[in-house]
Amino acid sequence: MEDPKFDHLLIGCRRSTAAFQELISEYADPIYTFLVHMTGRENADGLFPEVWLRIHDSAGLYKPEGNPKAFLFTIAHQTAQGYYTPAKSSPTDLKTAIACLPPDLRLIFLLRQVGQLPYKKIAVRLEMPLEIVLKRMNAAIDALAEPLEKHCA
Amino acid sequence: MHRDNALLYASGETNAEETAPFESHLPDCPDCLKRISLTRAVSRSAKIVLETPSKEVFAHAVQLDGGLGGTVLPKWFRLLLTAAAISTAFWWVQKVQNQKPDSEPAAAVQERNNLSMPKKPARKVGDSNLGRRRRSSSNSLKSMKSMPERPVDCSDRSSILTFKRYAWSEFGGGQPHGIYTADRWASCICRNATAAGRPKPPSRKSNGRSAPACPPFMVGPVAQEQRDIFAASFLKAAKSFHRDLPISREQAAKLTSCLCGAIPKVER
Repeated sequence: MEDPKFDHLLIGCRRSTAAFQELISEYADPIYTFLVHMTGRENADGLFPEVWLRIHDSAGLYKPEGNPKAFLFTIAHQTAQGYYTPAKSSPTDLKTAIACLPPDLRLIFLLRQVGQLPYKKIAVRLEMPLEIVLKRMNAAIDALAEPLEKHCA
Repeated sequence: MHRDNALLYASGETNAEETAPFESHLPDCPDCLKRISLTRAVSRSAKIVLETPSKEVFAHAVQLDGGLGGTVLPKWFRLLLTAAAISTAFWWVQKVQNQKPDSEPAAAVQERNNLSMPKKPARKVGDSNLGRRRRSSSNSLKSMKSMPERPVDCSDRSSILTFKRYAWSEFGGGQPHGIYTADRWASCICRNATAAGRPKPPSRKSNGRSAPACPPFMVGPVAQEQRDIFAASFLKAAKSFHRDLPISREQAAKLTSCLCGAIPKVER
């Protein structure tokens, strides 16, 4: 996914509608998945356009680094922060097992698995030590191990 | 510690110096092997949790750019416009200064002194709502509906619903998707806003007013200058919310902070 093209799309999205639309098409699924799992589907439907509005407004602050995902997901995280759903109980499959994770673990898990962000970048973006990020990811994997085995079986 | 290294190793984030000793200890460490295989299995299965936005939601996001009033002008053109505006203002000031007469004729002075202007009624002492009343009367020309009583009472469900309905009508234009904005704003102000439910849709439909613009998004600690720009813009947005919505100053600040993010820290 590392491609200067995506940098150009993000930088150019304020001037070109086509670039903005292409950027949305490229990253709509991961951003929407992040929002659905963090805030619930009803909130995600309303927050999704708002995230893109904020991305559009703040695209000028992006520093080209070949992969705008970290920037996009930071904005998604900032926008959705007040709407994170609490952990549910009794997981039945992998999707609901993710919903059962506490928001702190869920956030790290989704940024890594859906956003494909490296752990070091997650730590920088969330302003927390790398050890905490890895600890939370390990806890998330432990919590998901059982539903995952069921899914694979 | 090994568990952390296993995570980094499984995702290919270790450098050569870290990889060699870790790989050498792997055959003797079943825990690490299990952790690596589990991490990779989780990565493979992450695809099944991918969600796709509905066509309506996707279309709403895509149309934002056009809906915002078009694209941003090129930088050289903006600079040109600024220069033109400054030079016009300078020219106008000079023109006004040149037109000012050096000495006023005595007859004109006499005539001016004889004129009497009707006196304005004196402002009553303690009438603190005077300014607000004047503002609201000008606003009422724009909006057909009078503003509900402020501030929103979070313990009163009907107050929350009234706020949502007002925000939906004024800013959402009564359109179906406008309820999302009203819901979010209400949730920013009152924790229990979601539980209060949704009001009946307003009968009047229009384009709706545009919400105050947020300051440019800033991540992490920023320079003092950028922080000041953010704070000024933040304050402007909060004032707009306080003026246009039936909320108190504190609630306006809370809403702005929720929508635009908190004022960033200054980097050292």
